[in-house]
Amino acid sequence: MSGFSVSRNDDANISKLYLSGFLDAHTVPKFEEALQSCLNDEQYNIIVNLKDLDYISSAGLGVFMGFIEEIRESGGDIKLTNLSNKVHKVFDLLGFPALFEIYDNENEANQKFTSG
Amino acid sequence: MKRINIPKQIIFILIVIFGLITLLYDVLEYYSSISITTWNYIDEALNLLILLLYLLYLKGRPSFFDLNPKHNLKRIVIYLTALYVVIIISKTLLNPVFSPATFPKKPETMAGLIYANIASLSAIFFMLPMLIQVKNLIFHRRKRYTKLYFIILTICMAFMMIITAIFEIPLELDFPGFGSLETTLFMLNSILFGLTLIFLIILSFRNSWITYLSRKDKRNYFLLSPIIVVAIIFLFGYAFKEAIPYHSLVIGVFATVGHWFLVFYSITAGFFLLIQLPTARVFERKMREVSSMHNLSRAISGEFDFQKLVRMVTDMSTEVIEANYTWLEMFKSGNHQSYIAASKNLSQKEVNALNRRDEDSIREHIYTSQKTFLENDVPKSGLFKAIRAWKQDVGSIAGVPLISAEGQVMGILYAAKVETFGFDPDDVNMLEAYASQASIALENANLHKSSLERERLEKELQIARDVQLRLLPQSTPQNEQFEIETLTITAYEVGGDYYDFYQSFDDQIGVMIGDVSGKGTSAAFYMAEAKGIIQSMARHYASPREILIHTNRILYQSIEKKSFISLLALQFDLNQKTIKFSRAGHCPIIHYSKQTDETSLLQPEGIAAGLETGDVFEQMLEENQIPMQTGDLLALYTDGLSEARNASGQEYGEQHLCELLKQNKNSDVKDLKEIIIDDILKFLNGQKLHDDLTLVLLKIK
Repeated sequence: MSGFSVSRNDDANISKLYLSGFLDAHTVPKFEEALQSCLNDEQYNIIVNLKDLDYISSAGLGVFMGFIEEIRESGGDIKLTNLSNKVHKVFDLLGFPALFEIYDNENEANQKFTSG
Repeated sequence: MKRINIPKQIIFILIVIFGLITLLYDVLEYYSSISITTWNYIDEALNLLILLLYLLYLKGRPSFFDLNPKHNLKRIVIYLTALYVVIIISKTLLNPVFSPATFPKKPETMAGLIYANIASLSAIFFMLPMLIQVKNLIFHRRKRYTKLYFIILTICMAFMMIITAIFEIPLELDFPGFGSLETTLFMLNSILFGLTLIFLIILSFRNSWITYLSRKDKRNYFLLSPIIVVAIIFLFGYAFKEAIPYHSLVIGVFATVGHWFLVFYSITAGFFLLIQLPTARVFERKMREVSSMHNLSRAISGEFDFQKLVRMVTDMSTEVIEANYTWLEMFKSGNHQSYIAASKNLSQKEVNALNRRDEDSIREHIYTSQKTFLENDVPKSGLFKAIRAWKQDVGSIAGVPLISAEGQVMGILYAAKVETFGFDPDDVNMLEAYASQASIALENANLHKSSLERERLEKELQIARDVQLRLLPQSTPQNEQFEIETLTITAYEVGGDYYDFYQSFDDQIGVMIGDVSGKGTSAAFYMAEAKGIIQSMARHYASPREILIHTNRILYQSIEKKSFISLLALQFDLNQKTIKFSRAGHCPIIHYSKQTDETSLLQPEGIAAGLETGDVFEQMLEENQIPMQTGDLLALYTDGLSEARNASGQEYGEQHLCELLKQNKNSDVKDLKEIIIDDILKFLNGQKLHDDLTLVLLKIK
């Protein structure tokens, strides 16, 4: 099974997480850790870039659900960008577009954060 | 050897009786000065009997088989001392004098006669047990011919006894030639005697017990050995030489041979003690090393308690290397932090101080180099002198890394001595051996722990799988208007696949399919929960949409935030031949229409259950209704099917399934199911499923 990695890049008050590889039940702890570290740093505006994500399982989607409530209560949000067709299909199938803002690129998400 | 069991008391009585008879015979002979040859032989036979009876008695005692060299030596000294005490007292009291003219020599007084008896009995009672103890020393490391030599000796001695006693020929090494019968016998006796002495000498070199004595014992015994050797050498001339032959020639032979045996053996033993003294320390240490390594490796294969193991390692290092302080520092996996896992001769305060030391030049040195560290002169070492701030009396220190199979430093084993230049290369080697054993032990313990963990997970998995399988319907609804067939293939890891049938009204059949996010036990339990909720909602609400809306409201409150369940509900109206369906985030329905001969994906809007409190869910959720015709086919599935991956990472995909349905539009669902299974297996080509796979096929008749 291919691996999974996550890297973080903070830009002012926005944290950007870059996911790549396979996000499934085995690799979710890495992603959870990354999101938790954002919260620990009181970074609540988070952009998750999924450009290099090859696969996401239901457990991977669960991570977003696990954190979103706390983040929104703190006045922040998770915005998703650069979804590949395959990943987008999974999000779409489960109805995630109704719950999360999804953008084509980081700029759009950035603008949303700064204007909103 | 046959064991003859005669009670001790009888042996004792017989010895006393025979002893008195021989004494009486001596007295008679002394006063009458007549010698009756036959009586002489009987007298000798009785003496021999006393010897044999006593041997029999000794054989019944545990000391006869005691192979502990220390006990043997102790007994020899005790018997020797006792013998001297008896002889000295008797000699002082009786002052025996023997006339030198005859053979055997005759006592000049009655006191001499009594002394002769006492000396003979002493020879039997004290020398025989001494010889048995010597035998035991030799048998301590028995060799191939040891027993044979003893048998030869006994036979030689028996012949010498016969020749000496019957023909009254003295036992001396003299070779007068084969002139007469007497000189021939003399020669024969001498040859036998010479042979005996040769075997005695051979046996005298069998003293390997000395090697295994401790250094202290070797020194003590060596210091004692000259006294014993001298005492033994002078024993014969002082006590036996003149006196015994008068009383009994048989005992004379026994005393002579026995004496020579003791002399040879004590001399060689003393000699070997001397030459082994210088190597005693090294030998002792090697023995300790071997036995400690043996104990350690045995412990490692059987002991999985890490704490016990590390304590053992530090204890042994202290003992064998003779270090003043030993401690084992372990690194926590993943980071550079360390803690003291075990220590020897260090106070809790000192251990705490070690735990707090972040900057440690020695630790850094070992950690980065992954090599053994040795500083034999800490006070003059400059950089590593800092250790004395922690413990002032450290003179020399050595540290060995514990390296894992992956080449990582798991910990460091330290040993420190008060003296400078305390570690020689041997010590360092030993410490390295302990460290490598400790690393093996550590990895074993870890492996064991993870295998226990795995076992626990396996069990949990089995429970989850059982729960899951029991929750799936045991039979499929049958009706003349439709055919239903289901397929479930479970992956190694339990997924959360779910399907069920429900009957909301008489003319409607409901199918529910779903997939719980995540895997394992929690997925199985959420699935159980969902089943319960859905079954009760299906009794209350008539449409798939309503069932799902209410199921979501209840589920949302009871499951974890990060968990959710994708669901799809479909109802087939038997009268109207229509289907109504709603999709809560689940995979679409594949519909093959007989009329158009095309497949399509039915995917109304909807989000998965458990994601949202209810308002958005309700707002998003659509319900569609479409008419069905005979020959139409519906396939409901989970993502385990569409996302089944083969070795090259390709997904099976729903398109694959669509084509398969179209190609086999005329098959009944039973055959279709088999075709689909074959196709999936062909696609996977031996690759294992990573998620459960569920398929429900419904064909309208």
